[in-house]
This record gives sequence, C-alpha cells and structure tokens, in this order.
Amino acid sequence: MHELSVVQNLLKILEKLRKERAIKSFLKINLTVNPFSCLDEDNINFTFSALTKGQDAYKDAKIYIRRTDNPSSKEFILDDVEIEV
Amino acid sequence: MKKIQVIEVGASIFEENDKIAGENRSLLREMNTVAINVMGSPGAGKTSVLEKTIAQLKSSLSFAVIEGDIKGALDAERLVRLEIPVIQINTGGACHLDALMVKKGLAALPLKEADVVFVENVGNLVCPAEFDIGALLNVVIASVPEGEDKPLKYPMMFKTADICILNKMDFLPYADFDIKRFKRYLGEVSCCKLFPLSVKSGEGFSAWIEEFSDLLCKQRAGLKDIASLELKGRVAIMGIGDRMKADDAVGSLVAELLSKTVKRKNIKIIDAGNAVENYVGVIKRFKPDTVVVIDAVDFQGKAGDIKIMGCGEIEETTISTHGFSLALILENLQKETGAECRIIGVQPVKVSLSEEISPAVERAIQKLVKEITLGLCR
Repeated sequence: MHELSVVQNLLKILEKLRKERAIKSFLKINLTVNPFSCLDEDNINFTFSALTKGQDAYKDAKIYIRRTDNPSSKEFILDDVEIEV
Repeated sequence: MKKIQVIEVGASIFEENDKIAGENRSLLREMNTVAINVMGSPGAGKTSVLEKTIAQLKSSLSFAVIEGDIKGALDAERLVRLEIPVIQINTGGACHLDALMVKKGLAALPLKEADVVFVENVGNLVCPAEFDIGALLNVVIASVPEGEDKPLKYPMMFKTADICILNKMDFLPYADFDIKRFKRYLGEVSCCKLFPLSVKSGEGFSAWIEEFSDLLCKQRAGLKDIASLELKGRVAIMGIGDRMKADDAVGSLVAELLSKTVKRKNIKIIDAGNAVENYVGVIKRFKPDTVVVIDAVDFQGKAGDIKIMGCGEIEETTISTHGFSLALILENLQKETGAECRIIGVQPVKVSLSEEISPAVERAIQKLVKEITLGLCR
C-alpha cells in the first residue's frame, strides 16, 4: 500500500547518486528492511517500474529486499547499487 | 564493453521523512507539547477513545488534534464539538500520514497553548507504522471484533507501539476472542503496555485515564531532560552494563543498538560492558565535545524511569549499580578533554543473575535508542 511513498523516497536518493556519479544505468538496487516490514519485493518492483517508465537509467533495474534478523531495527536502508557507468 | 560497478550507499530510504520528523519533535519539545500518534484499523474506535479521553481530562490539560483521513472530515467534526483546535488533513489516497503532512498540521495549531496533540492517523494497520511523524508516543488501538491474531499479522504496527489499547471489551461475550492469546501474541512482537477497555461501557477506562495522566507527566518531564542534552560536535556515547545481571545490561544494550543505527565519524559509540575504566583512553583519544554515559542507576524512581544527571549529581544522590566510581572517571574525563559529561540513568527493576530484561526497562531501551538517534541527527 505504501510502496509509492517508499519508491518516491528511494528515487530521490538514486537520482542524487546518478547525478553525482554520472551513472548511466542502475542494474541492482539492494535494500535491507526490518523483518516485520510489510514491504513486498514484487509490489515494490511493480511500483518502481511504473514510476520510472521511459527513463533509460532505470529500465534494467531490479530491487532486491533483504530482511534483517534484528526486529529492533526500524531501518529501511539502501545498502548498495550495482550500476553501469 | 560494459563497465559494471557496485556502489555502497548505506542511506535510509526514509532519510528525508525522518529529518522532518526530527524537526517536528524539536518544535514540540520547544513548546513542551507531547504529540501522540494514534493508529489502528478503520472502526477500531480511535476517534471514540480520543473523544472520551479528552472529555475526561480537558479540565486539567489542553488538547489539540490532527485528523488524518483519505477523504472527508467526519471525525474532525466530532472532535470540534469538544471545543478544542482540530486540523483535518486529507491525504487524497495516501494510506498514512507522513512527517511533512504533520509538520503542516502542527504549524496550523496553537501549540503554545496545547499540552497534548493527538495525531489520529489514517485507519490502517500497515503503512502508518513505517513513517515516523515526530510523535513522542505511538498508540495502537485494536478492538475485540477484529480478532486476537492482529499482533502476529501486523507485527510492525504493534512493535512500533508504546501503548496498545484493546477497545470494545464489552463485545467479549459475543466474540470468539481469547484475551490470553491476544496478550501472548502481543508479547511475542512488542513490549508495549496493554489497556483493555470499552469506550461504550466505560469498563477499564478509569485505569487508562489514570495511567495516561501519569505517563504524560513523566513524558513531559522527560522531554525537558532529553532536550537538555546537547549532542553536537564530537559525541562519545558509552553504554555500561553487565549482560548477565538482568536490567543492569541496559547501557550495554542501548550502545549495541545505537551502534547499528548511528554510523558517523563524529560519533563514537562504545559498549563498555562492566569495564568502563578500559575505555577511558579510547575516549580521550577521540577528543569529544560531549560524553554521554548510559547506565542502570538506582535513583529511587519507578521501574524504567530515565533520569539525566551531571557528574556531581550521581555522586551526591545516587549510586550506579556497579562498584567503581563512575563520577570519578567522568570527572577525570571532563578535566582532561574539556568535554561536557552527562549520565543517562535508567531505574532498574532487578539486577540479579539473569539475562532477562524487565518490560519497563525494555521500553526505556527503545525510547533511549529512538531519542538519542534523533538527538544526534538534529
């Protein structure tokens, strides 16, 4: 349900990164989230594709979600990205 | 030929939201106003609980409300009848309130005159839990007709909550609801405090009002305390505690959790265990502006109470649960580094041989991690 807000926030970070590092395209986007989070990988990729439609930098990108073992953490962290320069 | 690279980022996806939530929290601290994020599914009775709570306490406290709904202002219209300031936010489809929406709502309220701002979030057990809005307390309202399985189905919501109200207890004779099982499920995912009650019959409501007033008092006192901590420049945070002695582990556990969430060059987080003297050199070399020590301290408070003290204060009025003189070590650090030293004491319940932490101290750990992280991000 809130994938839209999450992807919008994620895109702000990715866009900043793209401009700073002159990134041609993103390939893998690795996130770490709380084990209790309701974020679903398929849903988030669907929203991501919809929001980045027509943008070459994101057309091959796929988001991967790893859940931490620590339920005390509330993080939704963009760990790293695999890019083509 | 394609050139592929991996870039480590390590950024929070909610960085921007969390920054604004921190600003909201600072503003509320300045105004000495407690904001409470009220969440729950549609129909759980969020507005009814607010109506009755405000009606019972409005002679002694001043309230304001931010109402979050996808559309309409039905709940706001109900609350306006209590003659309090109410701001309606229509999210226009978004399933939660975020920090920016709440910031705009706060700007439209007379905060100087409000002791408490209730933020009634959009009815939903999923999304509101993921967005920090700058509230000091998170309250989830569940209800008997929803079923006892909700804590396990929506763990993030119940995990985030400081308080869980189980409403519509008058439905119990007619519903297939096992309250023992609900408590067990809740305990599996959260250490929040549970208040079973019924707005309609009034059952359990006086206990809630009593606890709520007490909690509010403590939170407002705590606001002043934590706000007085200047966490600017180079900050060394040292958690002290023996993991084998129940609540005595508090400082060590806070340091461990903070080290996972705060990764900055100007912040040094040390889990000193019960050998603080071994880390004096490390702190001196770090050249901090502020040293914060977290420890279980018996200051004759209630279980899990938090007290912020200066070096002199710990020597005069209290003793740490450890044998060494913390005050002397801190005084020495203060003298040699010029840093300001503060102690965050948590009142333990038990310090006997055990790895189990009391629920009240567990709540204090979560609160400290949240507040210190926010203080460091300000």
